[in-house]
Amino acid sequence: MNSQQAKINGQIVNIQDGETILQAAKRLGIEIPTLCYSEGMHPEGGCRMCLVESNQKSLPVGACHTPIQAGMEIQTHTPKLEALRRDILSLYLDDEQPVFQGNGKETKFTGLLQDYQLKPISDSQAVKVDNSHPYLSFNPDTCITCRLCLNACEQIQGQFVYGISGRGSESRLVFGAEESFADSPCVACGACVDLCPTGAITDRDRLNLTPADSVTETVCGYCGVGCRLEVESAQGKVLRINPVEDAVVNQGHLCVKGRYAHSYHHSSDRLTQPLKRVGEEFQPISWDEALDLIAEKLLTIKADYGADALGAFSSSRSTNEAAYLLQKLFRSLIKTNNVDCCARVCHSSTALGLRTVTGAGAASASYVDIEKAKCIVIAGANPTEAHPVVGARIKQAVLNGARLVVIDPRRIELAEYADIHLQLLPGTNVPLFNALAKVLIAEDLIDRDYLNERVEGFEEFCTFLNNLSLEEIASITTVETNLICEAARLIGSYGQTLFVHGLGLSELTQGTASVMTLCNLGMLTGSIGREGAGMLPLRGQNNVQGNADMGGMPNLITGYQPLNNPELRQRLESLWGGVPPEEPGLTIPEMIDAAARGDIHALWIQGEDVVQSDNNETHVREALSNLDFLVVQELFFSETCQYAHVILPAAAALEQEGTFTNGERRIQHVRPAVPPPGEARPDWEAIRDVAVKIGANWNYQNPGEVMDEIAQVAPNFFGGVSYTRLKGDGLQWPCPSSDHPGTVTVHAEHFIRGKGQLVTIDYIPSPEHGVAGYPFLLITGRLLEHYNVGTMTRRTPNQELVTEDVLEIHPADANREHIADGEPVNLESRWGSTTVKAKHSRRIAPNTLFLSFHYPETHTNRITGPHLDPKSKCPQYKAVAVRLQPNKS
Amino acid sequence: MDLTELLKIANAERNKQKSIRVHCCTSTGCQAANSLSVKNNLATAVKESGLSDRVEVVGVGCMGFCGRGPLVQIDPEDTLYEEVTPEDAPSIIDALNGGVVKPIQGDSQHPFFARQMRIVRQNTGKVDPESIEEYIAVGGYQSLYKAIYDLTPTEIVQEISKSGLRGRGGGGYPTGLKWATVAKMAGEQKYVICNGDEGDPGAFMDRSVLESDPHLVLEGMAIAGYAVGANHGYIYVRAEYPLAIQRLQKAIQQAKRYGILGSQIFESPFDFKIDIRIGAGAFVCGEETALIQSIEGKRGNPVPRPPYPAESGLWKWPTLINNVETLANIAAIIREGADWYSSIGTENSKGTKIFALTGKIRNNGLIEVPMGISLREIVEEMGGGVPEGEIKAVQTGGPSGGCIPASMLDIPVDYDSLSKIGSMMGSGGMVVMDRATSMVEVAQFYMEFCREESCGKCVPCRAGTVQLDALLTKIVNKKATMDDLTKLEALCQMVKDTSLCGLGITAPNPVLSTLRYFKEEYLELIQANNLDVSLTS
Ligand SMILES: Cc1cc2nc3c(=O)[nH]c(=O)nc-3n(C[C@H](O)[C@H](O)[C@H](O)COP(=O)(O)O)c2cc1C
Ligand code: SF4
Ligand code: SF4
Ligand code: SF4
Ligand code: FES
Ligand code: FES
Repeated sequence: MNSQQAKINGQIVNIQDGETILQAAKRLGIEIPTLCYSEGMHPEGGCRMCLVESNQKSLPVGACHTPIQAGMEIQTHTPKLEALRRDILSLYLDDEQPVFQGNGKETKFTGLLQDYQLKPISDSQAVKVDNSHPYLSFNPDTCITCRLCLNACEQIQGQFVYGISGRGSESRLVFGAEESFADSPCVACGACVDLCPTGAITDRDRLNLTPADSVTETVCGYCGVGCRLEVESAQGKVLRINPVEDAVVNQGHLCVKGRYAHSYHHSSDRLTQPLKRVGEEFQPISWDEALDLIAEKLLTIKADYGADALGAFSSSRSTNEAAYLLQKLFRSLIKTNNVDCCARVCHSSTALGLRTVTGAGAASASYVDIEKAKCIVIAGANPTEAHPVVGARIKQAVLNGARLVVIDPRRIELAEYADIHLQLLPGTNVPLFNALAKVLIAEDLIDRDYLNERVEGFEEFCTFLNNLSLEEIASITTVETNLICEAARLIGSYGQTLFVHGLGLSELTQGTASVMTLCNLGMLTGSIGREGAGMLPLRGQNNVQGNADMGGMPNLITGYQPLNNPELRQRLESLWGGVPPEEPGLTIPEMIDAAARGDIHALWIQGEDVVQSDNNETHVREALSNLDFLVVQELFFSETCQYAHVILPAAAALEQEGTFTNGERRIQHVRPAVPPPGEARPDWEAIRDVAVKIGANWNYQNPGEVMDEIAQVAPNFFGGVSYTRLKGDGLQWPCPSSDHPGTVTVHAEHFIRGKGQLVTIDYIPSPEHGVAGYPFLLITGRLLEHYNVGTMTRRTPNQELVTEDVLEIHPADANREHIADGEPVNLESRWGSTTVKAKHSRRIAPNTLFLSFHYPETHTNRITGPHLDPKSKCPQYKAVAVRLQPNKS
Repeated sequence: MDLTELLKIANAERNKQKSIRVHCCTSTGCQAANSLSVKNNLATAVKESGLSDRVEVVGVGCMGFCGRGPLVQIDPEDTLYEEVTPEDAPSIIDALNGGVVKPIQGDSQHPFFARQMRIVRQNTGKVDPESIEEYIAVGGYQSLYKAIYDLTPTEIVQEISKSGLRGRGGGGYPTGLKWATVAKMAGEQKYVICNGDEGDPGAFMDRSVLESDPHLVLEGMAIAGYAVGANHGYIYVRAEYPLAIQRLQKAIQQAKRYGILGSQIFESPFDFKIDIRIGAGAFVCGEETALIQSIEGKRGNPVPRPPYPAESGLWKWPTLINNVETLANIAAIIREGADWYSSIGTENSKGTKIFALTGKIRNNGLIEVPMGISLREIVEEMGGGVPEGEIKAVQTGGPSGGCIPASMLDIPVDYDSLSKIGSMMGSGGMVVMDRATSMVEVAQFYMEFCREESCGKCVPCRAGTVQLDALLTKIVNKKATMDDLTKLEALCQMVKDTSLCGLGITAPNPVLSTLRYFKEEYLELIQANNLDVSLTS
């Protein structure tokens, strides 16, 4: 043994910094029993199962919490230790006051009992089981108060649901001050369930002990975090979903949607057959008929009105392969660039803004930077609800000492953990970011070397800022000057900062401008392209990044290549056998307008309920009813389906193969865990078959072949991507060659566009600001329990967690307007009106309101108006002038 | 504030003080016996008898003889009055004028007082704990001044090491070594914590120091802060000590006003602020890692060590945590020097220790004695022995300690001797038991205490103390068999070997030590059971 070594059971082990005896033993293949320990969490040290003998201590030491030190000689399984372990375990089984009563389940704990020849005294009748929560249950009779659940809740989810009441033998696990699981602040992430060694906390879907006949690793179909899942199924039905333990994205964690809200897959109202409109009715038809009909209609409309009378909306929920094929179909066969994806109505401003100033329309940073960041700015995002797993990671980072500035009109949950919360008036990001920039420069809190070497436009930018007045900005944004200065100083004192943003930036008429002015801060602080810093937009849906990457945009082909790039056109000529026009096509809102005008005659809408999710609902309905032909690929008969001529039943996320690209540019392999119901089919197959009917020789046998073609079309981004390389955690683009490891930090050497561009953009009030007679500004957004228009989550027990949309109103406003908590109100903008229940809430500032949009009956988007960002065409969902009054009917 | 100003305040205060001071104890013990009315009546009597020009009545801290409170002492003639009632006040003042001395007069030369050696309690009972000027008048804060201006942090740490001072909170860890570890740690932030959670049943040494001489503790903390490089201190006081909390608050305010705490102390670059944290009401919160959790606003449960607080403590910064009494020794060591201090006591236990002498003993109260004094001297001479009958044993170290049989009364009271015979110094509880006391019941009393106070985090302590308590109850109730005794012994060993923190590790000690010296009492109770069984069958 040398000075850097220790011995465990006589085997020599080299000391690694910070390693515990338990971890070192594990490396030697020596298993030490544990009950209250889980890798990655602070050791609790309570169960004492891991005690080992050390030559350096007179009493046994806990292996899970004692660092291994040079010269230690450890024994892990002496007869004395084994006897102690058995004695400790039997303490749980005292005849008179048994701590543990068996429940017949085989768990880690009962396994240990068996190993030490012990048996539970009795099997409890489970009388006290708390079944109040739709997904979780708790049986106090099997709880050994090991506190793993509590630690998981605090150290993984950051939710602090559990507490311990009483002392000593009286100590019990409790739900904080609440009586039951359902009343607790639990967000049903399931982290505690996975660690409970006795099954006292269980998923209710896990109570069904049906053994799985297959286990599939795939990717979550909800938000853009892109968590990896392990789906257990039996006889074609999903039994339960677990997180992939070592996934880089989610690190063994999930949220309520990804983990539990899967029953919509087997909902009885899934579409299972192609349908065709006959008058006001829909009739089932065969796939062949449907494909023929679509091919014929597309061709006749093209012949009658020209290629640009057709258009396609590709879906951010579908796979990369489906998105790629849909744009290819319209571009290479119909020959129109009228293709757009639903990112238009969410992150188009982000993609455009980032691409303009940095050269890549995506995150420069990755989720791993959250743990590395010293300072985090969250602007216009509510991660703990909309991107829960990333939200939990940010919360942990802050609990572990990272500093946090939140810039949001709402007092979001993370604002409670923030050093500073700038609660700005909706739609005033641009002036606020400019003000922060002004203070950073004025107080010389900027990275001059970085600016000199890597950024252009600094002189101009300074001149521009000189003319801005902080006081004026304070009055526009309603944020006090000294708070702005304080925030700038905090950011400046750390320099490199991680900027996390969401739709609160992009869904505004100054959306692109908001994103670019935020990038200004990223450049001034020298953050973009650095570890633990940079731009990290949180993408909304599972594949919204991928959809744009695949060319689901009217002006760019796969891999963000301009239509008129001669090299590309040559490549397409050989790969596609045809090129699209050089002129960009129309965006989604423009196509809707064109349809309303009668200029667009046919649309193909893939998996998107535009009626419910797009702004200005009334106008959308008019446009769709005007169409000669509408194809919809859907899971359910959505509002949009009412206007369809052919409806194709689609495979859901867990039912198909393909790839999704998450918000950190990570392309991950999606695999079918269960078959689609009835005749439902993956989107990509339907598109391929229509192409074949039109006369193309597309003979992709599987989505992997589609990916191979994508790699050839956009070699700079995806040249090195192929299914054989997408094992495990996939690849982060850019990945230009087969030996390239993928990219964690974009712009690391230099900006993709050459130099980063500082932009000088001043505030332009949106048409919704200062509208006479409409005193409130309304923000729309998501709640944790539901996903977008709720098509999926409303068909799961999440429905029991949140049953309706809510309108949040500040109590001061509510009192002035005489609106009681829970009372229905008429909410009216200049564009439409609806009725919704008001909820008093201090999350929202006075004179602003918040409304979720998960329920069709709310018609949230009747309220949102027609205004678009002039550059990205992204609608303004995040600031709408409204008025309200109690609904007396 | 500089040294001249400090000395000026001291002089002014001394000049202001009247030639006769009537000290009336206003600490918790005497207050409970109505000493505040006594004090009021004394003041009225002084006024009415026209002695105001040379006599003043001063509320002071605990004089130690709390069992006989309220206590009144006349300075400088050193007359002591015990169990004074408000009605006695006029005659006490009258006596100053030559009146007849009342029979309530006590003996200030009694060994209870005479055998004491007061370092920590040097001022208690003599100064008004609510007046910083009185503290300054007796030389207070001059050690802090000396530390900042005449010594380097390293020299202070060396001085403390050389003094041989060991932690008075129970563990007896060498204080200088602990300071050196914290001083060595790099860290932009460091903390000093004063542990005033004092939870041992019957112990009130720390309370008395905090109530009677709060500035002494503040001064010790500030010197510690300077020595280890900390700018922020916390005093963690148990909620059951409202008077201590109130006096500490007042003392901190006063010190801040004089620039003795806060920023730029004595106009030096050294900043040190002190905040008070009120205990969460559990015995285990006195354990250092639990205490730190509690200050951080978390559940007050111990967490595994290492890392030790000295490396990673409060909010993960290096943290010095010392007991009240430990810190109350610092000013004297800096003032008189390490050599002086280390001349007191034994080879490995230096200085003095305060004990709370209770139980079957004539003279109840607090005593401060030099280390190495024999147990017999304390119990028989100072304590005056057992009122009736004979002494059987002395319990030291509270729930973590053990029972020392009467046959061993000649052992010297120091860390090593006590632990060698299976007891421990602990924080200073000392309970005397007479022949009538059942040692098994004593063991059960402490086990019940541990069972109730176990935090519940680790299983051996949480469930083990329940079973130990149940076994002891069975024995006491004469329901136990020899099997139970075997079980008891094995379980004691297991809980000791496997618990996470000191509470569990030491919880079996009272049982183990009574088993060692009084096993026959256990056996008798078990035989009584067998007799019952044979009688009924
Ligand atoms: C269960 C338990 C309770 C304790 N209670 C106290 C206490 O009330 N006061 C105290 O000073 N130390 C207490 N300690 C000891 C502290 O953990 C720590 O060792 C001490 O504060 C260090 O100060 P010292 O070195 O000056 O003695 C306790 C330890 C244990 C295990
Ligand atoms: S499910 Fe998640 S949030 Fe709920 S108690 Fe468990 S860990 Fe906490
Ligand atoms: S519920 Fe499970 S994990 Fe939580 S304390 Fe009880 S046994 Fe441990
Ligand atoms: S030994 Fe007792 S008090 Fe200490 S951690 Fe364990 S249960 Fe808590
Ligand atoms: S696993 Fe180490 S104490 Fe529980
Ligand atoms: S409390 Fe008065 S003498 Fe101790």
